[in-house]
Amino acid sequence: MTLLRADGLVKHFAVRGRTVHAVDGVSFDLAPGETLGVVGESGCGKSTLAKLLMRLEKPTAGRVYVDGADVFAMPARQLRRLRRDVQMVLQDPYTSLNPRMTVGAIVGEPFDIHRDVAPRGDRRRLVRELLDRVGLRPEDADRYPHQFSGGQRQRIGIARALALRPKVVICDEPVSALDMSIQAQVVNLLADLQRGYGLAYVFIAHDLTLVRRLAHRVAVMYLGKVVETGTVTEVYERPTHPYTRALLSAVPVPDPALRGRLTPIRLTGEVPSPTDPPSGCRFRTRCWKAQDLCATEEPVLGLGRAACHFPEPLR
Amino acid sequence: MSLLDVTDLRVAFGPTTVLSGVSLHLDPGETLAVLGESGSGKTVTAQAVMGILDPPAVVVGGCVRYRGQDLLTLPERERRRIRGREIAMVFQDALSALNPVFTVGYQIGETLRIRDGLSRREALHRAVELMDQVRIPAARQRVHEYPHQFSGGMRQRVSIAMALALDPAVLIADEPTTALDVTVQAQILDLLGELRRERTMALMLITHDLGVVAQVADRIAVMYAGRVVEQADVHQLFRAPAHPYTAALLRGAAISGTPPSLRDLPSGCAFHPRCRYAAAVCRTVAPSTVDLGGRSAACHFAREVLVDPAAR
Repeated sequence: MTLLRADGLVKHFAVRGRTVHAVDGVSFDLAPGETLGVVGESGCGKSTLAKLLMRLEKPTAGRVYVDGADVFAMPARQLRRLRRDVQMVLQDPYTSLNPRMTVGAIVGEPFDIHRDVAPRGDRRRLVRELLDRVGLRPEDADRYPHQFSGGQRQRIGIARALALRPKVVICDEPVSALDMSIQAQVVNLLADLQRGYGLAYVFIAHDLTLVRRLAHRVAVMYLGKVVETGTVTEVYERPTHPYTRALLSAVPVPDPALRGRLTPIRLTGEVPSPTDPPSGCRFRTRCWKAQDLCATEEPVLGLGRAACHFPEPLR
Repeated sequence: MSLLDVTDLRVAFGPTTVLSGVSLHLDPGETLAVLGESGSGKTVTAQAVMGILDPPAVVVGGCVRYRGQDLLTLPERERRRIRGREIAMVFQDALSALNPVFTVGYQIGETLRIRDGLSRREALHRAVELMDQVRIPAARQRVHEYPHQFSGGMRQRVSIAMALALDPAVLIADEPTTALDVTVQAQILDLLGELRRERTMALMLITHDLGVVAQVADRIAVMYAGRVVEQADVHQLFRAPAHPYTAALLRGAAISGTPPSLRDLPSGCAFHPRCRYAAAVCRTVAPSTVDLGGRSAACHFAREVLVDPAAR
């Protein structure tokens, strides 16, 4: 069963007469209660993908389906209903909460728009329950965002996202602005909420270690494309795309005993500009396996795990 | 004798104490990682050592000895001689550390013209050499380009080249890879390690990332709420931490609560409200630093934590 489906999503932006290929053909299926981790470096298109999934941007091509319904072809009435099912947690807990609203008003605002979810008399109680659920105190409803730490603010953002009892929450770098001791708290909360409500997540992050802790399946993006996808175990333990291997190899291992024992793969250079992506395989300019074929023919994801002409053999 | 010896350093920000007695040392050629979360005082420590604290932050106690000489008592003229030539610094955000209206070659060479009296031509020549040393490709051409023409990783290389211009004995790098992508971070960490070996330069690496510490550091100083709470050889520390805060970070466990506000520190040990080992004494008495034989920790129960299998 598929809850959220992306089908050939493409988003190009025109910038000063040039075309930025932010997202260039991304497809995936997400089942209820499942977490898809989306990893990649800056400029790979992961935040644009989040906006497309939320219908905050219109795709240049491709479709997004929620419970089988095409979200870009919906009448306004149905779209309004859709907003209940798909919610978002944003990266920056400092700019994503209105400083002039109380926490209660922020978390309860979705009820102003979707009045049938919570009868007027119930709102206060529901807001307090939500705050309690994300580890805040019910009396925090009367305070303002600036009175909270970054981690607590992110909890407020999560409570707001949960208010309408969504089926899927798109999390765009939800903990990258937080200190390390707080990141684990928020990740544990997200995992706990998933179990409690059967939520599905699209969890977008550049931190591969975090994604491993939370995701069931992973999509690795590079310059607007998914280059490898599979279960967490497959992708992390048996990566087949050279970029996935290099990316995992670049993550510092928090164990000094392994220093010098691992032979790291070091990529040269940096990610090319998405305004002028390389021909053929977009990764070929940094790839140690690249052949002539890679410059002329674009590898496709197809049924395999990796979009690569020369992937590591599946073990 | 250590190259750099920081003893009981205290820094206040108006009525707020931001460093309450920081002690650490750096030996020639070694890499010391200073690990901490935001507000722990790691950047302020670096700024105090460099003598570049932003007002109203002022040093209110302690000393910073470089080759035995207390930098804090030196007149500004003398201090300036040490800055750059003996101790240099690289910042997190290379884009704002570089001036957008001058070429990178001009900026790398500036210090050489002013401090070493090099001519423009000599300084430019030296800038190309320095860019080569930090592995910037096509240095001869790129020396004439402006910061915005460089990618994030290349810009950080430029600021490293600037810091190396006067061949310092100590390089302080404040979160040099935090703004970079992970594949670029790996390149810059490799580069810093190579430069340190080539020049037998000591490196003080300020970071919040345990993985980075494990990869590059010889020793580590863990900071929390304006104090060094644990200092040890990196292998020792990862095998058996002696401070409950370090232990929790290493386990990747969620630590309950939030880091305290420096304006309103908890009584006794600043970590006690978040600590699994906390007892009555922790709420009333600030722990002194316990010497554990080549390593130390500021905790009443350091010896217990050290041998607690649950702490690993």
